[in-house]
Amino acid sequence: MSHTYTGNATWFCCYPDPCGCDSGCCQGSNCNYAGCDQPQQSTAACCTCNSNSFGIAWKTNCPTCCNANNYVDIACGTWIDIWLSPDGSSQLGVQRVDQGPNTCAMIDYTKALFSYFAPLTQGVIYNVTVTVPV
Amino acid sequence: MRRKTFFKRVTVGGAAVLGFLYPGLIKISHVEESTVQASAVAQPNTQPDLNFAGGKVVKKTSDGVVVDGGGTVRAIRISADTAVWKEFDLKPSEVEIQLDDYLDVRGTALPDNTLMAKQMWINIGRWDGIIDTISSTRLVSTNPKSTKSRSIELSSKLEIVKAQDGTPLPNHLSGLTPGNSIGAVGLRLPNGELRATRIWVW
Repeated sequence: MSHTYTGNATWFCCYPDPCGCDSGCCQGSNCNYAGCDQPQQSTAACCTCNSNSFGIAWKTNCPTCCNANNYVDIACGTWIDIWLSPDGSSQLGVQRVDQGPNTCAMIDYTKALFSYFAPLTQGVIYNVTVTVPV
Repeated sequence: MRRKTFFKRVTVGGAAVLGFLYPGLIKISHVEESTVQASAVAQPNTQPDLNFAGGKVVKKTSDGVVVDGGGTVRAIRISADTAVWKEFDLKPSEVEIQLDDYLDVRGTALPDNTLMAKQMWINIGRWDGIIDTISSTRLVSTNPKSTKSRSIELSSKLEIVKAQDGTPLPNHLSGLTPGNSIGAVGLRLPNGELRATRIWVW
């Protein structure tokens, strides 16, 4: 059983501009910030907020954290298959949603991952298909 | 960029990512101009991308800068061929990088652990929110989660597109109205505002 989502991928706003991030953990891309809510947020957020690493970002508090209609809830730690086109002709890779609360914006890439495929200035990669085991 | 070209770049890039993430575990079974099929064994995805760096500029050097990405310090080499973005697409000679600027850099990792920059974005920021008010020069948007509002300047090179497919929004700025859900990228300004260069509308 799997669920397929087709939509867009964007990159996660993070340190030093945490306006689009979960409050707290993005302040220094490390695990020492007082706002981190261990163990629920700390490791995961710090991992996600390290823009230099490949990964799928997550945000808390669905459905109000993002454009909820365009996303699906994915349990953190889930492995997902990411494809660029609906016919599955071009697989981008298998990625794990980083540890933390469930995500509603699981197609927020880290900057490192996003910039592999498009300039950060593009903001959005279109027509991404994600297959999630249910 | 033409769609076909984009797909080609992405698929080839995707294979490269897989190869980086899962060395020895990737089998590329078929390669054509625009198609790469690959299989991968799932592994933790927390590896750093050595060809990417992000951080605050803490030092200028003779051929670049040093950035601190929250504990990870990396020397960045900049050449005349490095593509620089700071609201506009610029050449390195056209922009002076300042201490405390935040750089995102994609390039080639060198054996000495420095990064030769190919593309560099200076103080780029992102925003998601709902439009509260809009004028010809700026808009105010609120993030529904944080209830935080942000004033967003509109760059002279602003693009406005539909989020679904990236096509231009009819009527450009006139097509935006309060209540629209948007995402944006742009230049982070010293006062905390964002000068948007691209807005996508859901």
